Amino acid sequence: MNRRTVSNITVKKRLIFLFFCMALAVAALIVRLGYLQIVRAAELQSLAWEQWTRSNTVRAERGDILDRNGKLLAGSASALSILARPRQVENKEEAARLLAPILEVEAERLLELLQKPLDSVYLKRKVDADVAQEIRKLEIAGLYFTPEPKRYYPNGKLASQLLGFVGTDEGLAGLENQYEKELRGQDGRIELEADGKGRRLPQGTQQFIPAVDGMDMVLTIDQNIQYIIEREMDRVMEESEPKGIVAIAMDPKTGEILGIAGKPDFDPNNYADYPQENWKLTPISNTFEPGSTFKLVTLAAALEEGHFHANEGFFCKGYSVVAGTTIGCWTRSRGGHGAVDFTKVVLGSCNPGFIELGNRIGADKLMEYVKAFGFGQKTGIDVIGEGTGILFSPEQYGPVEAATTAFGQGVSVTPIQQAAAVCAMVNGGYLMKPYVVKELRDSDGNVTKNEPQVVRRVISEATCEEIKRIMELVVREGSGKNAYLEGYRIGGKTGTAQKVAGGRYIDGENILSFIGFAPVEDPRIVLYIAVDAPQTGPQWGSQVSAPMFRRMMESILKYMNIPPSTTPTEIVPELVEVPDLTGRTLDEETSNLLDTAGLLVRYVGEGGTILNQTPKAGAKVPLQTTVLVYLGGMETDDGVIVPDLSGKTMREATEVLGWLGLRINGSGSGVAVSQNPEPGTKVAKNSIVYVEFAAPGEVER
Amino acid sequence: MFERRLWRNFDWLLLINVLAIVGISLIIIASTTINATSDPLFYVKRQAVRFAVGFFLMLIIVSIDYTYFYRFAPYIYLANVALLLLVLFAGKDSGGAQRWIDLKVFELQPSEFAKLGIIISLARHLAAQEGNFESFFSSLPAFLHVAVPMVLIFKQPDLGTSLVFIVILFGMLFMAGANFKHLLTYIFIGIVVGFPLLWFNMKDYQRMRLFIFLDPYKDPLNDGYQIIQSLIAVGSGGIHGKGLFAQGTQNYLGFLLEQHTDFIFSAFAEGTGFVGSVILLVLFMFLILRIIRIASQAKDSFGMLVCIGVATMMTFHVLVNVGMTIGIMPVTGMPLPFMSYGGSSLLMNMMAIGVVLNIGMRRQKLMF
Repeated sequence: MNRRTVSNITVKKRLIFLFFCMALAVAALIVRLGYLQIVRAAELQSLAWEQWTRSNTVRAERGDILDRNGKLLAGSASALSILARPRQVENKEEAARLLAPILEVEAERLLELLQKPLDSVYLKRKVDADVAQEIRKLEIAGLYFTPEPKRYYPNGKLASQLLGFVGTDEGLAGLENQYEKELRGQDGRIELEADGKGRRLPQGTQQFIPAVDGMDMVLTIDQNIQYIIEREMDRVMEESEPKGIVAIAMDPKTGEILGIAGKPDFDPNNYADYPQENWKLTPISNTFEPGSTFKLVTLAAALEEGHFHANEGFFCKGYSVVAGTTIGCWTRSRGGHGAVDFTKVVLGSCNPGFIELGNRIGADKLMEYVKAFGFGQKTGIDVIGEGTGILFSPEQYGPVEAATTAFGQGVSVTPIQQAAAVCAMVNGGYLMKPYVVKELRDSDGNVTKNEPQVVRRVISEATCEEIKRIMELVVREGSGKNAYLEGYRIGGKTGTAQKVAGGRYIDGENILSFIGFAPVEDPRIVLYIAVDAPQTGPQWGSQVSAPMFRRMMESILKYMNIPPSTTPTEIVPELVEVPDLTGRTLDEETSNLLDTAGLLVRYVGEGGTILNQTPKAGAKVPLQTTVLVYLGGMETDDGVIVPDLSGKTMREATEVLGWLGLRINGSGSGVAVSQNPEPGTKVAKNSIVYVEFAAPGEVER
Repeated sequence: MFERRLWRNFDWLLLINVLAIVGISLIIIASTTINATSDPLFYVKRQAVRFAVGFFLMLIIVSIDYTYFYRFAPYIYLANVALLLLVLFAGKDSGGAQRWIDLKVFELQPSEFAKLGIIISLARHLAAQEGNFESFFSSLPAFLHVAVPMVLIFKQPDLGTSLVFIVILFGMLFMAGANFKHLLTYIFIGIVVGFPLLWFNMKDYQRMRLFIFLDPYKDPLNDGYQIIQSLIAVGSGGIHGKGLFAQGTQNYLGFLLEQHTDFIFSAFAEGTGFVGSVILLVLFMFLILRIIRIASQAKDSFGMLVCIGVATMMTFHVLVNVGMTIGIMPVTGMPLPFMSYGGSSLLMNMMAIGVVLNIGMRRQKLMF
């Protein structure tokens, strides 16, 4: 084959030269290695340690939130975050395609992440264990799983506004946010000793600073009471479609909040799916004009100052003139309450009567009481986001303002202020600071307790007794009859608060509230409810709030094992007479008529005047029976608009269709669940409407 | 299979040297990938299988008289060019470069095999030239010979690998007896003419990657990140290293990327320190020395030149790869022979060793 053509000497020389060059190159590498690994070793080691310590935080476990009986409201579970090191993922398209359905992230988005020029990217944080398991099965190289705590709320929406939620790394709303520091604890670190110049000594002793787990937080909330409250709120949200509801249940003796909720709320497990307005705790943040419930303050002041005498006569002519300004009573159109006594003034919620009381107390003194009961300032409840409300400033505060303040207009208050004030009225006169955090327990077992705190004493024991007596009368004989609960002694007060927007009252949008307590002989619970602009039923009085209060109170009293009152009391008549409603409109007066009668009302039709009613006037019905009225507006020249019968009994449906000249063909029993033709369809008179009835429990919404 | 005489000439030390490096490689791959998948030995197993295949290929190559390679060199050349064309038009796109052909069981990287193929065909070409390098242009055919595959690889784009060809070319030209002054002139012309040409044919990211090593802190989170982490890993290994499989290492904590492929040396140097690094480099040096020894004993120019090609190639790979991990060479994605995780590179290097052993075994003229 080919011969050596270059001389062997040359080849040898060149080989030696070539190898020398190669050895030189490798020697250069060794020199450089020596420089890095010997000369710069210390410096680079500390850089490495720095990166290491930075990455070696030891996560503290977030504390749990428990209710007063130790039931878990918010807890931490370990979730896995999925991390990818893009350069190690060999087939990125395929990986993205496989992962997309499991992670519920779009494949394009995943691919985008996988193509980032970063050392590591989170594909998804805090996934459930089964998701992680599924991904493990795919055996995709370059994916890593790092454990991270994930917050979860076992009861979903329950107490969501109070609890708030935790975002990816920290509490963002509610108690989770306010008590971030306590709940979070302190992450631990692995650190190294530093030398005199503050430099870390790479070979020095490591220091391990263990994580301090977050504190467990025990709330004053009782999960069952919270559940009862929210169940009823959800029900009314569905039935009456109001804009919102707030409710507070408080222990009057201690100021502990037993239940607090606002609707609409959110699920803290998926908080991002809900509008941000739903996140804040509306019972402490919302402010509105209180209306009649505020009259209790005037009553308390008048009692305390000796200006209220239950049997003293008073004449209401339907209005009252204060400093040249005429202020009307809601009974104005029918000429006022007439000759009554002061008990009736409270029971009938008579504005001129309260103006008189306010007048007797004196404008300044009244304002003193208003402030003493905690209005116009924060209650100091231990949840952030509390509103203050607005009172008349000293410059604004004249006789007219004093008069309107006396019956609850022109001021704005928060629900929590009202609840706290009523607590003071029934607990012997002490304004208690409301609170929700009962205890904080650290991981060493140390417990920090929040004790009940008296803000100040506002009224005397005797005044309290009188207020309780009168509030009980409101429920027995006055506008609170719809809150009457057989066997229990309950005190209460209704309120219709007009909504104000831009300095004006909004027509037809009221906040219907009810505040009450039970049992009268030894108040254990104060319950406040406000329903914002319900869409069905009258916009006045206690038509929505009182029955809701009664249902809540009934369940709560039973849950708390509070036995029915043994004190003999006058028996409230079991049957009430249905008044004649025809010719009336669904106004404040009609509502009050029904409230005082202890009847509820529902309506069909879109007209203004009541044309028909069932049961008929003069019928004797049980207390809290619902009267169905027809407002007209469903009949036109060429036919009849079929009404919505859903939820009505067969008797009611038959009656309603009869008013409209329609015939019914019903099947099943219970309440109407479906009908044909559909509501809103125009049909000829005498047409047949087919209605299907089912037991209420079977109704599917 | 072989005659006794062939076994007597078999360079066992060279083989043992290779086995030692591969053994180290498997240990390092294990320590770098232990947390990567549910099976901690997933990568090790795969690489071990590849090594077994490579060893088998090596045995086959050893058993064929290398004069056959001389005879088939033109076909080897054409086959490699064809594969490179194929990869350019039908290759698998990954990370902006088209370097692979997906064979389902294995992703073939033709540019790796082209190195060995071109070494063989160029050795025949130069051997055939019989030391006739009087004219300044006498090296031109050799340049053209290498230019075709080189341009194809440069187009993938794979700058690092295409540069290997230049280095191999110069190494082999030098040993084929080219005029030393001419060679220096080529280098000078290459720098003056070739460099700007190269520069304007590069994509932005290539330029960035090429020069970021001079100052990795210019872009510490992207292009510079890997260099910084590698420097920290290597340097923090100190004299004795942090130990393999040790916690708290750059490697273990995942600061280091590609720590089982291109940057395997960083993980090795971090774990074994200066002592380990020097031992590994000495192993490489010894490997190259053995190859050059075989070159010096080869019975013909072809064999000698093939060995020189392989030695130059491996030296350059070691220089560029290790240099990259310690911040004195640009990041070009060149694997460390026998060390880096990856099939094509390992197979090609095993085959190259097979060829060298083959030449060594058949160094004496046959005597009947």
